[in-house]
Amino acid sequence: MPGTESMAALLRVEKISKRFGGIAALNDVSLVIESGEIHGLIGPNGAGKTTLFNIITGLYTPTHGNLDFKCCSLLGMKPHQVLKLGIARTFQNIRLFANMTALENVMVGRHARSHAGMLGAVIRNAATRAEEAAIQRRSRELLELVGIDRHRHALAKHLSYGDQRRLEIARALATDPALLALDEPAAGMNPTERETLKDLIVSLRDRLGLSLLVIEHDVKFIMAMCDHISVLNFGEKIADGTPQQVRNSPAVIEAYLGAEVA
Amino acid sequence: MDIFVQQIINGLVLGSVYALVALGYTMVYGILELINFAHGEVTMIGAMVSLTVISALVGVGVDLPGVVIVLLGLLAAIPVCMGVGFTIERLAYRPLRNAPRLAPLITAIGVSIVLQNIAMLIWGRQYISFPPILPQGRHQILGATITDVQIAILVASVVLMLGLTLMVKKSRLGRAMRATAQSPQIAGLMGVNANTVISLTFILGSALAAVAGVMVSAYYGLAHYYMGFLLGLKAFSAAVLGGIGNLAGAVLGGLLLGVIESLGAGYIGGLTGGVLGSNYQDVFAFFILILVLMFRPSGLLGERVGERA
Repeated sequence: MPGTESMAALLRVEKISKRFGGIAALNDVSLVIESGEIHGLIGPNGAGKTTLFNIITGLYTPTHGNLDFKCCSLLGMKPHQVLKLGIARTFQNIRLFANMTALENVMVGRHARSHAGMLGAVIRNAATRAEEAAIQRRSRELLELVGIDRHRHALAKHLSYGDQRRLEIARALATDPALLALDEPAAGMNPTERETLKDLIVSLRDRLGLSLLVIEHDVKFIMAMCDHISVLNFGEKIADGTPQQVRNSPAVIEAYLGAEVA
Repeated sequence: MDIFVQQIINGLVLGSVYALVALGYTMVYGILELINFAHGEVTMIGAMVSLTVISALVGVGVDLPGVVIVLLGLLAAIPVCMGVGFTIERLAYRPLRNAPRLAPLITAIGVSIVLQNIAMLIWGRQYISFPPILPQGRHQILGATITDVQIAILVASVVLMLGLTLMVKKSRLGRAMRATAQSPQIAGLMGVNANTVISLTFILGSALAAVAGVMVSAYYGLAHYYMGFLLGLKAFSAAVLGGIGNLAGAVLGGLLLGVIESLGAGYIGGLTGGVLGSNYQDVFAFFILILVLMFRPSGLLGERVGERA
């Protein structure tokens, strides 16, 4: 488990730059995510947070810089290879398989960790059935963990917004990640739902030893649960530290937090 | 009344063959949004290969029951068709995966013509007849007759359709197929290899086509290098009628088209006072297709299963 070796760097982002044509979306951004920490990534709209997510999860290739996860560089890896190595994510705009049930969505998340092929699908031998049962059991556990097991047979598109976000987390967890990246997980949730979500995220760290990277706009939400926060503005990192340090950073107050927390 | 029941039975038998072929169209469409016009030719190749094997076995005077000989022919046809389906996707469609949609469509028509010509070179232009080795039993139900071959076709179709449904709904690969149909990018992120899923889809569809090919040649007692064209067109229409991309729709569309066609053949002469004969059955079937599409352009089971995210 990643949590056992505390305070070891799990993901090291080194001087990452990303340009789209003439626009620098990210400029020389470096940050370290330790094993077993909740790392917040905040910044105004267009600061480059989601771009960094896309680079970490292999959807974009950085123009410059390097990424080290556990043992290896992530450079040049395809998204599914990054996933197999142990980074899973959710999306800002929810991207579930809308016409599959909640349970099936999570089961697809087990794909990379299971094996049955065409032969198994046709003859349904003992090994295939056992694997299928294991996939189903694990998926149920995860639905229970995020608190939507009772909706397992509902189509994803029929779930409430908050439940869809939770389902995305369950699907990401199904890939057995060491690092879970959540892109605005609390967006569109009411205060009660946010509170539950916060507890869930904290329990993922404490009980499963996961590391989490969380993008969020709700400053109170992020300050309350993060061990470490990095602040982006116009593609550059302007602050980095504990919530207390970030809260007191003049650059952050000027660029982003403003009167809200000061 | 007897004629009515008889035509319904004939229609269901014919329709289940259409349905098997239509499933191939609809599965590919569900995942790639591509109309694989060469699919009818895969059915034809299934018929030709099995007939070749069956004729050869009969020719050397193998002492086996007719059913076993036909099954051997089928067992030869299935892997050949799977290989053909896999190869078509690999060589003709995959290089065009990111091309404008018209390009693979035209390619599909091209592949269809190429396969017809290859078949003509191998098997010639003449009709090949199905040796009369199958049981010829006839049974009476509700005043109509149903033959052993018809029963076999119906039973085999139902088993195959149930098997396919089970596979798509319950297996790991079936889930991967549905996930890819809905959102290829996210499915890829989950570790689903789109190329594997697409190849699998072609292989599965082609296996069903092989069975359908054997059925249709056994039913009509002959096969021909051009038989895939009209069969493919009808199966494609069946898929559209049911709502293309929808597996249940393909089955429904296939059965409906078969029944409509049969009823049309049975009654069109009487209804038009002999002006139109039963050879107008195809016109009748396509006329119904046009009518349905005027009122339900997305087909009977409407909404596509694989809605893109």
